[in-house]
Amino acid sequence: MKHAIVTENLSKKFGEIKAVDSISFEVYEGEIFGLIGPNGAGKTTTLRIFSTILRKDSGNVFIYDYKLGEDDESIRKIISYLPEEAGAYKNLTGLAYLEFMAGFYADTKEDLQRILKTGIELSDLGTRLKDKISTYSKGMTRKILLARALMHKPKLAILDEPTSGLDVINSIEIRNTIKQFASSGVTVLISSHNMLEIEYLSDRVALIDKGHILDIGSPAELKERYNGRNLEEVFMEAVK
Amino acid sequence: MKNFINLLKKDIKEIITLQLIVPLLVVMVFYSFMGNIMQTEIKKYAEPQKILVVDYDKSNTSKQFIDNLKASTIPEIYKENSLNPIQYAESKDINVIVEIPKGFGADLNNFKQPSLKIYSVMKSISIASLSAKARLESVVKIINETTSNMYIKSFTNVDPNIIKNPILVKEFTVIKGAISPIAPEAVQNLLTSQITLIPIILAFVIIFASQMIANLIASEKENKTLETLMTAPIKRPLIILSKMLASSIMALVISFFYLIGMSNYLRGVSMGEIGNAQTSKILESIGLSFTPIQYFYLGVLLFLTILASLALSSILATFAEDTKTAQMYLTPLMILVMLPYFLTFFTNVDNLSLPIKIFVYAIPFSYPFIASQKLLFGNTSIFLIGVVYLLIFSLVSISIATWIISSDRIFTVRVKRKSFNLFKR
Repeated sequence: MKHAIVTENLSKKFGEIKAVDSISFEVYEGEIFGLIGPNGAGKTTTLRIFSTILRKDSGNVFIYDYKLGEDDESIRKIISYLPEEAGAYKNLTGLAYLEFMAGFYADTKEDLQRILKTGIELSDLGTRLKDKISTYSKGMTRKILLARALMHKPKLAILDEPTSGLDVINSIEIRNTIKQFASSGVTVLISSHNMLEIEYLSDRVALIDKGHILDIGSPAELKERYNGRNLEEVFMEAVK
Repeated sequence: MKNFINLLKKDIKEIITLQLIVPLLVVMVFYSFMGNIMQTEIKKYAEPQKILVVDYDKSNTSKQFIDNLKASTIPEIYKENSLNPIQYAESKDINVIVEIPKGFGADLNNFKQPSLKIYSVMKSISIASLSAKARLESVVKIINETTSNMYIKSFTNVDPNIIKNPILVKEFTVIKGAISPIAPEAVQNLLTSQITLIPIILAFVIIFASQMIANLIASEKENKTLETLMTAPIKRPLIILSKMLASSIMALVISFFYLIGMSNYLRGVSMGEIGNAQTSKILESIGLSFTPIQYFYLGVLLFLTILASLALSSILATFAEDTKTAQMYLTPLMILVMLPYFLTFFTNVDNLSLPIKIFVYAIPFSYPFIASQKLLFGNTSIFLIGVVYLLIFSLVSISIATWIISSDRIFTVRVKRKSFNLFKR
């Protein structure tokens, strides 16, 4: 199976504190890979490094055929990142925002229309797309941001806490969108401290705590390995 | 290029908000409105004002004096009634009362220097409250002059002007080696009226551009859109460069609108002297008007100054977490813009002490202000020095700004200011 991400001894320090401490794992092409851990475990730092926002201190990361730190511009062409606290330009309408972001990935007008069409469908906001984003609820903003992240069909979608702070209905809708989209062959790297959400979405999961990877496996394997009924119990066992 | 234009369009859309357009229109309308009011008021008070004349003398001389007053005032003769002269003037809204004492004519004819009493009813500190008195005084001055000439003539055949001014002063001003028969004060007044708008334009453009780019960068951080933009397939220096271009385009557009309002206001205040075609012609004839090449020099300096201010503002804005903090960080920059603006307005920078002069020349914003005056007097070295200095300054600042945005420092710099716990892992 082809690798989408290969991480070897990745480390990142902020001052004296090690946010990520020599972690190694692989993500296969077409799978949904979950990173779970409590707040401050190092999930977001890892995702930000993969997204070329933060620079690694040491270690190697390969995203498809590109080496992080050397081929960052090529990496940015094939990935998409949805930060946890992402916002959108409030003065733009939802449609103008999607069009603006689609403009970076489209080479022709036809490409632009195709990407935009996917974005409109994914957002599921209907006529509200013509309204300014400043008038959107948190759920609507998250939907348009997810649509933005997926509409150009990136090879790798990096989603940080995609349902954070959302109500049950919006969370389920977003999870279904991610699941549906991943089935089209997009690799998804997702982080969450909501372990049940990751259990539902992911093919494989890495447990991360204090900058270290504790274990990796499919939800079923991990539950069997730690004798837990769900990933929350697995995580509690793993950190003991 | 496609991505850059995409970014540029978005940045311009971000700048053009209702919060920008409404104050812009208000300021334009306000300045034009104020200009019109000032013009109307000044015109009104330039017209002859009513004065009350209390003539206790009733001689031919006093009557002649009152006739002379009619040249620039509207004299009303006080007639005895139930109100005293002051009460009467107040009731008729007359602000100046002139009292001609008994024996005025006789004393004048006998060289006894009669006194004339002028009472001003002061109701405010406006120009209007003093204009009638000023006009009256100018009439009295002329009468004094005429009477004095009459006295001199009665004693001698020599021209009274020669007796009063035995030495005749003829004033010339040398400009760029050419001699012009105009007093330097007159040249200065004409020049001031013509170049008043230039430093205002410069200050406006620089301040607007700095504020816009700082807001654009800080709002990307505040609205959490920067991370998404940084992961888009676009060369990172272009993110800053598109904001620089968007800010400078919009700063020029906004300054243009401000200037329309401002020039209407200044024309109103100066009674049309500012930007006046006749004044321009006089200045042109003495070689004190900008040639097309001098306008080009000024344009180049202004462009480089905007570039320097944009780069400097970008660096400051990367340290800000939101737009309010960004504006606060810009305060020192605004002071540095206003300093050369005021200095060149009130003094010659070259006459300052050496340390202050070095400080002023070290400020990149000083060059267009200083050059706007020096170029007129044929000094082009300021242009060359300014271009070299501003180019170096801008290139270094832009390099620092693009280096910050290209690295992860734009996100991690906040970590160093606060505690690590505030940074999400």
